Amino acid sequence: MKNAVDNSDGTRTFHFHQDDVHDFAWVASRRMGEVRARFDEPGYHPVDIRLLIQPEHSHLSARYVEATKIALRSYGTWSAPYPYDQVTVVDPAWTSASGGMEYPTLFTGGASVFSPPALQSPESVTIHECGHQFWYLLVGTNEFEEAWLDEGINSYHDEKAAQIALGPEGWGKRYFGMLAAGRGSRAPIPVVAPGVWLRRGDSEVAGLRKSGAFDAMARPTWGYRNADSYTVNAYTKPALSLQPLEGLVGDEVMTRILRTYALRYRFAHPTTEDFIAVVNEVAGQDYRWFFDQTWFSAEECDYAIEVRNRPARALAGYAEGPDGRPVLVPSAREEGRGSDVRTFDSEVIVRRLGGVRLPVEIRVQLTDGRVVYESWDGQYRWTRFRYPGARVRAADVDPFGKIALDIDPGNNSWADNAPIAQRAASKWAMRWMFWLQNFLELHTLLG
Amino acid sequence: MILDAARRGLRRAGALWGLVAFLLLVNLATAAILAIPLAARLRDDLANHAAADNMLAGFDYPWWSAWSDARPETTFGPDILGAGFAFKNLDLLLRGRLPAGLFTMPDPERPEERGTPFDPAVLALGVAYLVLQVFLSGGVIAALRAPQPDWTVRGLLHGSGFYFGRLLRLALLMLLVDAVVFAIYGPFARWADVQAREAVSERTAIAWMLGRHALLLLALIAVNMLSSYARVLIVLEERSSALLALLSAGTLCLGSFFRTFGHVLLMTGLAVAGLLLWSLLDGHWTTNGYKTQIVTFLLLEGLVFVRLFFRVATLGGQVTLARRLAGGPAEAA
Repeated sequence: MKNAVDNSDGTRTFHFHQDDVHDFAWVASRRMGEVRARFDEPGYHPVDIRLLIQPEHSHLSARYVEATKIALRSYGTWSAPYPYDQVTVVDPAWTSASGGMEYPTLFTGGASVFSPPALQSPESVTIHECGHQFWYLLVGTNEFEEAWLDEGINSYHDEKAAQIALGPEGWGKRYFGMLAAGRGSRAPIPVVAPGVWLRRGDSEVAGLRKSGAFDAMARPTWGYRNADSYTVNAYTKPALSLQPLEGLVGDEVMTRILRTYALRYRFAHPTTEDFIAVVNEVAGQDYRWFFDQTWFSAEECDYAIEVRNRPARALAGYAEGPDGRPVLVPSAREEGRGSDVRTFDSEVIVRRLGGVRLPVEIRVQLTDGRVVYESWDGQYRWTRFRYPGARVRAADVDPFGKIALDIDPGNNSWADNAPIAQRAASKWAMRWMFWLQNFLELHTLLG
Repeated sequence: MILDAARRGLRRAGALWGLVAFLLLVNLATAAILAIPLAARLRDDLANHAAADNMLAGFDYPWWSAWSDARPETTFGPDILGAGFAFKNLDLLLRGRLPAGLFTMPDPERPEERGTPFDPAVLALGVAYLVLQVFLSGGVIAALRAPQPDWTVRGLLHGSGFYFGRLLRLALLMLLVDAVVFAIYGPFARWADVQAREAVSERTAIAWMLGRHALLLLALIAVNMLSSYARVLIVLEERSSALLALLSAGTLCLGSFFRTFGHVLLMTGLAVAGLLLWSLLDGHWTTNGYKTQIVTFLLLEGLVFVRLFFRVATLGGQVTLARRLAGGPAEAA
């Protein structure tokens, strides 16, 4: 704020000034408390953090501030440092429907009175909205025509930042809310499921399964089929697609790509083609094919693996000998070996069930202790790997989870684990039965 | 009198622990009707997937997410873990999803949707269980009313069969009463939600949201109390008219509201304390082998047993209170 002038009519005029911004917003409230903090770390421009917080959320102040610092630190490294002297974080009022929004040097978060740390709220929305400062504000892409360049890249970064700084996110459900949950309202009582942890991208894949095939990602927002398609194509799909790109080029190159893009196009309103050009330039290869498969396509990505372990068929009868002449090979029975032969011939078949064609890694673990890594370009519908004289214990396509776009990660692995499946099934059926027993007993409250 | 009724009820339930164990077997066998097929389905779906290893060691969320998307009506999910099962069930009750979705309150902005999909087999089993418990309640009360609590399976079934017609008519009447409660509650809930939405502070909104849920729960507990006393009167006084028994129960409860409702709230509080104690124990070890599964099974069934024990103890206390408040002969200590 530059100054505040009292006027003769009893009003007061505030003058604010900020260089290099393309929008402004203001907030006023009788109820908000103010918390001041400072982000001052080596290699970064110091930033004054001003948190305006609802009184009932004051116990979350430290979490809001820490999340803002995580964003300033992470995004400052992965794109370009935040250049302004201050940032205002606003904890929105109950049902104001103003949460989760971003403006130059000001953004709104969103919190609830009961906020278990495992659910990473308000951290996740704070990191995301602060992250918009780096994309929506400093790069300034067109949010109507190419929403993914801001929301998508930001979502990719905010999940990465949260995973590194806060660890995996817990899973929870909120209870006893309103009959019609409107924007800005949440059910009050959160219950965190013990032992359930979500890695980066886990919670987004369901949306991709539901609405990912409706539209190609690269469309103007008004061209999407419905609100779900907009959410998937603006946020989910670009964020998930940048993970396999990161897997292809490596984390260091990916960081250089985004830093080059952010610095070169600061305040320059780049387009998707500009981004792709930067990817190709920094990676040193043409990755247009990748974007054709993911951004400019409505196809789904789904790889699956299956294994066949068959007892090796022993050769018997006449066969070609080493000198090319027929040789009589005695059968195992004739040799007295019996049918107790324990050699296997195995094959691993990897299938591409979706339309997206990406190169994939395959890891095959054999019972003799060997681990074999294969690769496949993913172009045809399937490929096969044979292992004569060996038995496969386990096999995975995309073993390191780089292809976050895969809509069914469950079919990416095979294991010779029937007894384990039995035990896991009985374990969870027992737990479900316990829920059902209590559900049934609750009926005695009625009637 | 409340504490004395509670003590007597607990003592009677303790003397009839075999009956409680029988009720547990009935509950377990009913649930097993759907649990066994689920176990088979999970075994087949997990076989030859690495997710089986993950599910044995913990919970494989990506696998479950795809699995449940293919089965939108499924009730198997992470929301049943830990104490979550109690919140899930309470939420279903207070949204009118029990029994069989009869009293479901739709989202006022999307009235054509009747709530998220729910496994119809589970709902049907709930109705069957309700009828089964109505049948058994006559025999249970008959066992509780005896001067020296004792029971046999034959005696239980004989008593259950003898009173079933009357108790079934009463149960249908009580469902009508529940319907009235939900019919009155619906508009009140929408009004309370408006107040919550208009609140300046989230704390005020929480008070409105939790307050209206608590009111409904108390109302359902009160209706259940009425039903319980009506059943007790049918058995104690050999009443043949369910409606008249209900009216007598109403008079009894209203005439001594603080005693009757206080007793029910005390027993409910004890059961909740049992749940809290259980939740402290649950999850302290990983269930990944047959031995740990047995330990976990015992802990889970232990809680169900405690719950059934408190139900029988509450009925026992209500038998005591009904006798005292109706001016009947004093029970032996």
